[in-house]
Amino acid sequence: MRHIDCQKRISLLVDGSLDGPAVREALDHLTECPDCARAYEKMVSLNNALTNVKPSLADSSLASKVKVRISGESNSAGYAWNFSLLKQVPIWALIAILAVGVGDMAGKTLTETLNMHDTSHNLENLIQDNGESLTDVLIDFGQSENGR
Amino acid sequence: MGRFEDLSDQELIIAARGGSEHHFGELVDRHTTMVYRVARSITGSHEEAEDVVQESYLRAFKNLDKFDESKSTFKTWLLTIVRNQSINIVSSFRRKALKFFSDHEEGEPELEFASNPLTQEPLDAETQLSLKRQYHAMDKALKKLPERQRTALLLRSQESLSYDEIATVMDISVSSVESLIFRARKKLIELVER
Ligand SMILES: [Zn+2]
Repeated sequence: MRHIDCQKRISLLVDGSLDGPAVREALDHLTECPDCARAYEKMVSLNNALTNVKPSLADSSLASKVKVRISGESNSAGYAWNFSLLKQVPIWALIAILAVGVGDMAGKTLTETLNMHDTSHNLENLIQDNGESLTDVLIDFGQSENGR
Repeated sequence: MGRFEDLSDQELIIAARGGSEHHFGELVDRHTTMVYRVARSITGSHEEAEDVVQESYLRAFKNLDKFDESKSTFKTWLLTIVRNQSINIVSSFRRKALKFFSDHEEGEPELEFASNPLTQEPLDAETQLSLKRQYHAMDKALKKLPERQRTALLLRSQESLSYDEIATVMDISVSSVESLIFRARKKLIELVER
């Protein structure tokens, strides 16, 4: 056996990755080759050192961060699923729903639009009503964005 | 998530595939330290390793259906994702640019060193400190190895993966794993002796 092959086998011996006869052969070689015997000792010490300095994270904050993200991901996957359901609705039905909805908003100011449902009456206090329609607000917004 | 401790990884995966994020959470608790260590050794950075850990689990969660238990264990499948993600980060231009233009010193996490594996007794402060010094010295030496040698060696010596499992994670032959580990040991011994 070439010396370099033998040293490679010693690395396998350290890991317990040699089978029976090969272990015996390698051990026999160690008794007659001081170079390989030294190499074996060093590899064993190195292995012990690597095992000793195997760090662990002191707390579980990283695992918690991961779980929060997974949870967020499964929630948004839920939305994606709903959206894919929406895709199965025939396009004419969507147009009809939109037409009724937009028709309902026609001529109404922004506050009136938002106030169509009783539950949103408290928005009055949050949004100043300048008498502008939703279209006015969108045009204003578009202009201010273009002006940047 | 102690209530799932008795379940195997495979049982947890079956439940997670059925939509239980709590079962997947147990897999996260089980493997995060290992995943962090591997990502940290490839990227050489605590912050990047944290990113890799999060992205890898997210990817695993989204692709659980693609995991084939007849080809690998969950652990080796997850480590394959982790290694690929780590290599992507290390070789990205964004990262190179950041490293080049930044002298930012990043914070290290609070690391702990295992007690005697047989007794599991906690280590005293002095021993912890001494191990921390040894860890930093070893880390410095390990960084001088090519990534493939370093990863193969650590997967064997620290994570106790078999040569077959390492071959799967690194997508190479078993004889290449043997060579990488042997060369890594030889080089590390030279570095220590210098
Ligand atoms: Zn010899």
